[in-house]
Amino acid sequence: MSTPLTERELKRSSASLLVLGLLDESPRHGYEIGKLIEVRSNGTIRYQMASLYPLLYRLEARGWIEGRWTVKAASRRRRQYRITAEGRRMLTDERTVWQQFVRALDRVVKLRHA
Amino acid sequence: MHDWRSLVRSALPALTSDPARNAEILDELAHHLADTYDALIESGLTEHEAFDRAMSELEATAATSADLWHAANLSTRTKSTLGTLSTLSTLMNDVRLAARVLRRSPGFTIATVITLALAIGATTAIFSVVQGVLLRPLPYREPDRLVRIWEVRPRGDDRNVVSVGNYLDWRDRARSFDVIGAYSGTYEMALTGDGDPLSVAVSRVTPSAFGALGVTPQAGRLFSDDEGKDGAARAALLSDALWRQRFGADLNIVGRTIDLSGDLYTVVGVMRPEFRFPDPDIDTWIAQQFSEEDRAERRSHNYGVVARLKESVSIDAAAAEMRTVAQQITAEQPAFMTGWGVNVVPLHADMVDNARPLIVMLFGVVIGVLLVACANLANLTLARATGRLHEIAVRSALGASRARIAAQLLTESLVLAGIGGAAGVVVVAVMLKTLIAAVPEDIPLLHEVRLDPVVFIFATAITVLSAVLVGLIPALRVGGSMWYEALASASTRVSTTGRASRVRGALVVAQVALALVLLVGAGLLVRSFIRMNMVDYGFRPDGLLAVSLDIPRVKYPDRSVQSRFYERALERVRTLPGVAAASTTSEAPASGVTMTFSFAIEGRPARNPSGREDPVPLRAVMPDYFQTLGIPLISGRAIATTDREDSPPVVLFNESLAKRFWKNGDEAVGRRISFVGPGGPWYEIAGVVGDTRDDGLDQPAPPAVYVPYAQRRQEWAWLTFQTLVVRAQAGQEPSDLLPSIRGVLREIDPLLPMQTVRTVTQLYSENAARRRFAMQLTAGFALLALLLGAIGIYAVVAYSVAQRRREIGIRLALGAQPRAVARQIVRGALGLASAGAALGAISALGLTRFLETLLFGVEPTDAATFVGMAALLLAIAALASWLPARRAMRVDPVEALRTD
Repeated sequence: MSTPLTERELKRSSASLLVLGLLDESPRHGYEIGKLIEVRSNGTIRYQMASLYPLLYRLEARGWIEGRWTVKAASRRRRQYRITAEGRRMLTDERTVWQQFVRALDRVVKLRHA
Repeated sequence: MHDWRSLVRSALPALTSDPARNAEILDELAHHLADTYDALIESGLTEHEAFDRAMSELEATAATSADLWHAANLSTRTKSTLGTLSTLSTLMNDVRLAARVLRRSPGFTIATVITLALAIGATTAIFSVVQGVLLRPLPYREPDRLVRIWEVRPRGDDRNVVSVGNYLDWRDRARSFDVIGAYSGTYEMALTGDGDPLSVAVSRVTPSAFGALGVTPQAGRLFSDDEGKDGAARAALLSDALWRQRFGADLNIVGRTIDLSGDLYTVVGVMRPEFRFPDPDIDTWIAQQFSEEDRAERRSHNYGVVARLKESVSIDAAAAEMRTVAQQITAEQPAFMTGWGVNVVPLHADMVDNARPLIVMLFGVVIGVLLVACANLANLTLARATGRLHEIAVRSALGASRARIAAQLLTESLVLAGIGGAAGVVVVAVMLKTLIAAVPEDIPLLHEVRLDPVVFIFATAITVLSAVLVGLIPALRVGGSMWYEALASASTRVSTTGRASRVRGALVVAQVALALVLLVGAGLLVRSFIRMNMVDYGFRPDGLLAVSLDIPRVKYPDRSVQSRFYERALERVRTLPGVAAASTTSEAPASGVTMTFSFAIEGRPARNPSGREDPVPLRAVMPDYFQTLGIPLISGRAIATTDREDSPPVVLFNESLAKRFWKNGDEAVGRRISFVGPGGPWYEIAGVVGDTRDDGLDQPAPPAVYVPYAQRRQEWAWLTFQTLVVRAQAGQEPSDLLPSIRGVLREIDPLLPMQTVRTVTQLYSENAARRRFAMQLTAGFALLALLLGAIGIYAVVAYSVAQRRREIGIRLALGAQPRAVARQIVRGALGLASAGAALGAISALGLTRFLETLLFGVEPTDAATFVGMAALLLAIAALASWLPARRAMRVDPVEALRTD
């Protein structure tokens, strides 16, 4: 029982870090964000449509990301998300918090060499 | 190529109120699906497999569309207030989401709204009666200071009307009151001139009574003190209703004279429509004048007394002072007043105390129905919440807090209850007049019942309360850990957890318990009613018509003229076609008014210092009265046409009166009584007749003495009223005789109005109206509660059968008998119902004693009713669980196992 629960909690609290971090690299559309999270986490973390878009709309409502319609030649018209200045500040904060957190965990239980 | 956009659009409802934004979201999701599909094809899946995978993503999104909706609306509405969400907009979103969720399941929504509308409507309707009758202060100035003062009879009634002598002594001696006034009971007078003679309801009122109440007229003025003095010009005040109907709301009526039963009265004013004292239907008040003779009167108790307490005086202090005054009066008037006391009661309590048990009982009943309805809906909502667990779980995983989800569920029930409550109140508002008409007329202050702000506040409060009752348990359950369990389980089909089913079981137990309490109450009232209708009236009530008449003393001044009028009328009526027999009496059976007189028995010491026995009801009747009504003669003889003014005076006793004095009632015949004292003049008891239930079927037959109308005392020349009782021939409808009777009376005296016209069965039926009303309403509500309880059991069992399909399938596959499976399910439901019935029976034992005043011939703990109603309830429970249990028998094991 406790394992999925922890995963879920982790997924929930790390969601904004993941999206903001990916958008800090470059603007991306929704499918790309979901795919990158899945690929880079080797499939450990997956966001499906049902959960991804509510997340994006929430971040957008908070003013941390911004969606815009773009048309590339020979490609579909897509909604691209970019990070805002405020989103970048949030990302910096979140990065610090997570780094401190992971370091703290590491000091306690030697995460990296486990 | 698949049209992803159409697929998305058909799977999802509109997410925002902004069409452009909707289109954007559709596009975005369609692109996502297209990309997903393309990537899957690229990875080597077949088109079919890729399409299925993409569609399953869409389905998952549709299942949790509430969350998408929520997020989408955040982004369109709160862009300006970045980061922070105002509570208000969250609430608005919740309401919108709730409305959408409810629209998605119209069956549930409609059932819930109708149930709540009925329950809240009924509760509000009865509360409007509680408010109008029991709670709202009387419509007089500083009503808290108003009291009613009664005499207390020796060995008896502590609310006895007052003699003029006592009233005047109280007025002159008591220091606790600002003003003290007296008024007569209601009686009818003939208003003549300006059209057909009209019978109007009149009360004689001292000018000070209006002063005590602190009222003002809408036109003209109240009575002056002078108009209350003996010999002053006669003055009258009109009611708003009479003024409009008879005088076309003509203000010039003030100052004019009207003819009431042969006397002229000057109209000094018109009262306001809301002034209805002492009875709601008074047409005219006339200024009471006490003659010298009246002032000395201590024997005849006829007046109500109302007083206004001085500002600084408490009711207890006033009561203490009045007791001292009463003792003084007793010391001065030992012959009349020994043993008599005084009773001071707040006016409002005095008016409504009698109706309080009925109203409080009905209010309890509707609250019970409301609770049953709420328990039922809480169960339904909980079942739905369990069905929506996966949706809720996903939303929670995406960051919605427990509190947010609980708030969302509560909002849903608030929206439901809000619609239900509004519908209920609208129904009450539209139907209030009809509802009030259904309430028995003898409930006081009914005209004060209306939808006032307090009623609306109450309706709002119970609406919110219902919402909390309906939504709280599901919200707590879901806001608790339920959905973690849901997510943890591999399947989206979540089985009911032990705790959830325990909560639902508890709700069913509560419903059944409440339903049983209501059923027992209804059962007791129904049994009382049946018992009452089996009571022997003491005469044959069917086929009897009662027509009240009162001849004006101006025209018929003395005893013999009065008697002659009624004799003539009877002679003519008896010859009318369809009439089997006819007579007259001073008071119709069951009419509820009684004149009482005291008398001395020759050669027998009386129990009172006055030398007379306690007063008993007296009827002055014409010959053939007993034969007309079918009252049996027990011994001696009945009243005959030979009992004339100049023949030796006789009376008849009824059996209970005769037995009060002689062990063997027959011994009464031949004895003599006197209405004055031990010195005569004497009336011989010529016979003893059977008892009649004059106070209503639920009351013991009162003692009665009958005097031939022609032989009533000279001093009783005021006894000008008689009720014509006419028995129709077999097969003849008594009310059909009315036109010919009216014709006869008009020929004898064209100016005489007929007063109350009723069949005697009607009179009894009015008498029983309160009981019938209580019974019908309680029975109706109890059946409603039973129905709701049955639905509750059905829902719980049906739900658990659906949840346990797999288990049942396995058991059937392993060779279990379908009947045994069904029996086990029914047994489980009966277990819940029995627990509820036991709890209900215990509660009912404690509660039915509040019904005691409404019961007749049945104990509040009547075992037959308790057992019978519990059996009925369990039978219904068995039926309600059998229907879904049958479905369990038909579970196909193979299919049940495959569908997981």
